[in-house]
Amino acid sequence: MSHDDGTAIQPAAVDLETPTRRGDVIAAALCLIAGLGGYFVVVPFAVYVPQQFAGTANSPAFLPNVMFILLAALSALYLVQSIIIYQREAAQGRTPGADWALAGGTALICIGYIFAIHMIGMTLASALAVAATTFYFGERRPMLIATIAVILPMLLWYFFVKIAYILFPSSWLGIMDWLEAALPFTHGLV
Amino acid sequence: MVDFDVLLQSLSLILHWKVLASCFAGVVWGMFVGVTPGLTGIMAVVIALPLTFFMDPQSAIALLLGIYVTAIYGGSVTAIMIATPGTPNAAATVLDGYPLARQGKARQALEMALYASFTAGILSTVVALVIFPIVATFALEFGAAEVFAVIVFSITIIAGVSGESLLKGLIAAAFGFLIAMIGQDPIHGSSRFTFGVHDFQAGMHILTLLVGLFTIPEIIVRGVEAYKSRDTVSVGDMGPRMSLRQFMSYWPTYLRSTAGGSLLGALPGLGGSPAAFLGYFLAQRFSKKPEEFGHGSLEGVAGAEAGNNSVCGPALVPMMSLGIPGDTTTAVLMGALVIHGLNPGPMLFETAPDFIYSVFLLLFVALVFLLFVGTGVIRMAKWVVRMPTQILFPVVLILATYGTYAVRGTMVDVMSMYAVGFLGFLLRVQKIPAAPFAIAFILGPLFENELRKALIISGGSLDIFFSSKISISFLALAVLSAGATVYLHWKLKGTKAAKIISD
Repeated sequence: MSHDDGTAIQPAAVDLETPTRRGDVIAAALCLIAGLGGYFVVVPFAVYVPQQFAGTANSPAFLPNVMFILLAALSALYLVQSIIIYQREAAQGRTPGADWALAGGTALICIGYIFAIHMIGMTLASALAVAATTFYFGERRPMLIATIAVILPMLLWYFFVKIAYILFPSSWLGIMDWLEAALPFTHGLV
Repeated sequence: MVDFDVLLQSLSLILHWKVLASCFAGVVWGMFVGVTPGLTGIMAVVIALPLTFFMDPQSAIALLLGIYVTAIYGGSVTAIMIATPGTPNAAATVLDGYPLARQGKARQALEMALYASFTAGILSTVVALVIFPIVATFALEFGAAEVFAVIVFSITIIAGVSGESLLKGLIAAAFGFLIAMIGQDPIHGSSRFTFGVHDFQAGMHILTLLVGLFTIPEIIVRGVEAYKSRDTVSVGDMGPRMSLRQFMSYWPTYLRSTAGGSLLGALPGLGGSPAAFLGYFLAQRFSKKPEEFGHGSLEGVAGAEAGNNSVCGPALVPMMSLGIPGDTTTAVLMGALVIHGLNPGPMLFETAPDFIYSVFLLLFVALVFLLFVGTGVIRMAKWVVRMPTQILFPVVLILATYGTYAVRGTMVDVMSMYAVGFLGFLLRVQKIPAAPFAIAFILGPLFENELRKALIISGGSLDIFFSSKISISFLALAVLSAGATVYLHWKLKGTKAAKIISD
């Protein structure tokens, strides 16, 4: 698309929370794929239907099928609507790539946190995660970051393990098991 | 009707320092659990249950009722301050409570939640006390078809909270329904969408979904905001207090939401979350400013909180009069009564009427204590708003993870929470609303369960849904409600389009 004088229209930068027309088309297409994929692939593969109930309203697959069909139908409408609006409106908003990258960074920290829990246990992983997130969000005072990273997981460990008697997941590397054996004061840290 | 002689006798039973102290302790513990994400009201009651073995029946039930009443309110504090519902009952409170906090009106939102909870709690307990026998008989009339009709009516809430696009709201609801189907089929026990993962058999826990849906997207968005601003960003100020005039102006909302919540509370198996959404829906439907809902409406907070707290009194009615617990928490309360030699059921009214009245009086006492403790909690909430975003949201991230893990002690829940959170973030970016997603997730299993139970009873015939006046009335109401909401959407859309054209 272009202006009357021939110069191309630059998409206006919009806030991360402002839906874009292009985003609507992509979201609608993904929802449609989810609906169709669910009906044709996921339900036959992941729902066990006893023989005597197959094809009845009392089948365990009945409502999942209805919902996937509904999702596909609604998504198709959403897709048509989005394409019409996308083609009609000249100035398409676009979220800056930097915003997506920043949001992706937080998501990566979250994923890393889950892996870290498996590898080094809940308490140590939380200390690292809170330090990483605080730094990533813009805090630059090392003492403050370190204080929160130490105190918060310790308090949570004390409350959940010692008061609420909730067992934390054991870690693959067994670092805390080794620490517990070496240093008596760390008993029960994971 | 109320027997005032017995009521006075029961008053003497509760006016003892041990009973009052137990009730106060329960309120404090319930508040602590309510504001801690991951700890639910049922967990609080179960943890306190062994303590009651060494108490007299009045003190025991006072402790448990204190927890029961307060945990429902407590969940709203974190819902308003950090967009994390402390308990599932507070899911509807997030929708307007958190936007109010972001606008620097956290104090008003918290006060409205507290006073609406108190008002609805008192009103619903009076209702439960006065019409105890009538409600008990009425609740007996509800079979699977009638409960199904009530749920269908409640599901029309989805259209009301869909925001600008009904289509997007319905898509979100379809996702909510589908995620609610993960786990065992409610009738046959067949596995659905578990993909061989054992921990999926029990389905996704409601708190896992709510924390993922509301908290994780908020953390991601605020993280981007904090990084870009680089300054110490505060969530906001506590803001002004709520005036008496503001509180009084929402009386019709309290009454409507209390009526809706009380009805759902008296029906076994529904609980506080659907009541909160029904209360929210009724508030929006009759509001003079429905467009403010979802963007920071005090009336929305009032409706949601009045709805979920009005469950307390009526939920005890079927438990004590018929021996049918309304939800898991009342089931534990019932267990506590049995442990103390009191068998809930029709005979309890004959053998210990003073005890029944004392239970309702204790609910009033617990609500008064809630008012005091809640006021103290609101004062402490200022620490949260003064915390910089760079620190607050990493702390929330860790609390959300621990809270989700603590519910069932499995990492699968934590991973599911983050997965829902990332999905919630993508939905939020495209303005696909989270509220219909959450409502469908909460009501979906009830919908399917009652539908299939009714179909089994009728041998597959749909006539069962039109065989009683109750189910016909609720189905008719559902059609009217859905029609009116679609019409309202269409009407508002026209206005918006006209505005754009005129601009």
